[in-house]
Amino acid sequence: MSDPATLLAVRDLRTEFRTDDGLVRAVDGVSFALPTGRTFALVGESGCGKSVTAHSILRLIPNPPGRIVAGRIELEGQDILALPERRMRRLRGGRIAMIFQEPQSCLNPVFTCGRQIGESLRLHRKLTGRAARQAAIDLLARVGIPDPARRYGEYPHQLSGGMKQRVMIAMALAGRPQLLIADEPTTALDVTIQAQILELLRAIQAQDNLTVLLITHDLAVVAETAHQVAVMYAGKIVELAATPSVLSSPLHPYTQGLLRSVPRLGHGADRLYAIPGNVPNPLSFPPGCRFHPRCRLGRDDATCRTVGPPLREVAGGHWCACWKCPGFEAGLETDPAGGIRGKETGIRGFLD
Amino acid sequence: MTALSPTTPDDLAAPRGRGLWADAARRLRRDRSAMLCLGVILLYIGVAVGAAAFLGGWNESYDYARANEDPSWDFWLGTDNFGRSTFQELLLGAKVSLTVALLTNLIAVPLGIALGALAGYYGGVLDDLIVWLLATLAAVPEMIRLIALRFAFSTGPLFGFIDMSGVGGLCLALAVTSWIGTCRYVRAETMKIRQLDYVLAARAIGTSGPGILARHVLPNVVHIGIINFSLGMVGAIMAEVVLTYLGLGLTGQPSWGQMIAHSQAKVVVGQWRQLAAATTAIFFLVLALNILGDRLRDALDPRLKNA
Ligand SMILES: Nc1ncnc2c1ncn2[C@@H]1O[C@H](COP(=O)(O)OP(=O)(O)O)[C@@H](O)[C@H]1O
Ligand code: SF4
Ligand SMILES: [Mg+2]
Repeated sequence: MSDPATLLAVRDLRTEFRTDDGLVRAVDGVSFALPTGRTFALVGESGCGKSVTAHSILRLIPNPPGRIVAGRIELEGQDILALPERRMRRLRGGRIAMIFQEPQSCLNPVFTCGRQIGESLRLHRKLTGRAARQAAIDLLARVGIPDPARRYGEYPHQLSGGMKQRVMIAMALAGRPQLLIADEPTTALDVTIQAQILELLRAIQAQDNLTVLLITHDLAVVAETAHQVAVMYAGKIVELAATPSVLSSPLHPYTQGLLRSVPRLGHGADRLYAIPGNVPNPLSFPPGCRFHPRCRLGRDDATCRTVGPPLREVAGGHWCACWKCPGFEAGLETDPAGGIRGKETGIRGFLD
Repeated sequence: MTALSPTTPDDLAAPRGRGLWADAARRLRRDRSAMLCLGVILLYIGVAVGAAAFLGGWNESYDYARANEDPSWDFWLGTDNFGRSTFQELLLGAKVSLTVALLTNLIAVPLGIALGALAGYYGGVLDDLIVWLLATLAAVPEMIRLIALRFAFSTGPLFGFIDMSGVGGLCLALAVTSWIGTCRYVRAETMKIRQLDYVLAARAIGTSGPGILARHVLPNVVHIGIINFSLGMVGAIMAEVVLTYLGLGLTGQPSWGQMIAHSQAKVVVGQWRQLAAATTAIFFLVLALNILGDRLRDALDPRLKNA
């Protein structure tokens, strides 16, 4: 089986926020590639820059205070950071769609579900009136909403959280996207509903050959859905590999810590491991390896404390950024986004 | 309250709104004082329209034989020193007050909403510009600003051909002053709205800036316009009276401002009826508008609290 072509490549993305307290380098040189038709998971603790990465792809970073200061985001080879806003708008909800963490607040309470789906149908498929209504009802049916014709005319407050997330998915599918970015789509939902939504996303992906960028802090979700995983810490990717490799033989101490803190059957909650220390303050990341204050291997290591490890391919298709990970010495500085690393990416202004 | 209620076939036939507006309308209809005030205001409007239609020619209805009469069956409120009916003058005066109040706010409120929403949503240079304009205007006391504008307008037609000495000019001068409050409020509200998740979600499906303003921002700020319209009418009515008193208002047609202005000399000689009639008329209209504005705020503001 040959590897699927890359749909979206993010190269050396850097997104900053100028806040009153100082500069926040929320995403600091992130690179990855999304293979067509696969699910790629971005995991990491809250605040590590997952959402900012996703919003950067859609150029939804509010400016001010935010700005994409460097990098390329290539959709089938075309750098979308260079597109004029008008063409970018056609991509949003068109070729790239997004669903969010809080279905509760992502639907406007004063419009019916049908109307909100209709907006996307109007923008991207030029459907209005009866045709739009029928298409919206079909979409509601497709995302598993019972009695879709009735739900079409209902307001968000008449739906449960899970139903609302289904409506959001229907909205996202309305523009027939190639790429679906799902930013913690199940975090706000009950456990049983979470499983249903994930199952729905899986089914849709298979039917449409959809590429999915799944953002989550939940490794259990990753295990069930993703083909590849990138682990983020403090604005950088620290490990990237196929899901089985990451789950069975994590190389980065942070990934190892994350895996140890996943609750498993048969273990009491009190036995649960937690990575010591706290997520670093994004206003002043530690020097050297940003993980070193919390790392049992690197806490007292001179190199770790002063020099940040680059991301290296330590085994075929397995990238890691840790001085002490096996094979790091011999690892290659290849780019997980494909191509050779270190090529001039250019710094461009953000147009939005 | 309707979240969990079973849906009836009726609901399916005509899906009812979240009903924010319907709720507000229902609350208002049940609100006796609001309805009473609305009735009073409509009565004034009716009088203004009726008087303008049937009581023309008052200005020239001189009858020196019957000058300065006391109230009688012929002249309910007596006559002035030209022998004209003070009661007729009072009824006719409603037209100027209400025209000025309505026209001023028809200019000021949409202007305030538009500029406030643009500034709040787009931010940046546009916001700086609008805030600068706002702050500059607000820095000059309202009456000084009005007087300056009226003087400027009275020196001759604007750009050489737009006559600003009439009602239009007066209302424009008043509007230049009164959009500020609406604009400030709408701007602040818009800045809150644009941070909402559903605005982000709307942007994520490709909705444009104007689309978001129209679909997500405007519906959430029109109530501010409605409230400010009612309260702004009060300001316009009062300002018109003061300007007329200062000789910077409208001339050539009966108005409450003129009734008060003219009575300056008359009160001393014991002729107080014009003054009393005009102030009473203004008092009840302003009271009704103020209470209505207040009740509107109560009825419409829960939208904000629930949002
Ligand atoms: N609008 C903003 N203004 C300032 N800082 C922001 C803004 N949005 C995100 N950040 C910062 O960027 C960092 C990453 O945030 P985010 O990507 O939302 O994290 P997560 O991985 O939980 O999705 C955080 O430290 C946050 O403080
Ligand atoms: S580089 Fe050093 S501090 Fe960083 S994760 Fe590896 S061992 Fe720990
Ligand atoms: Mg997030």
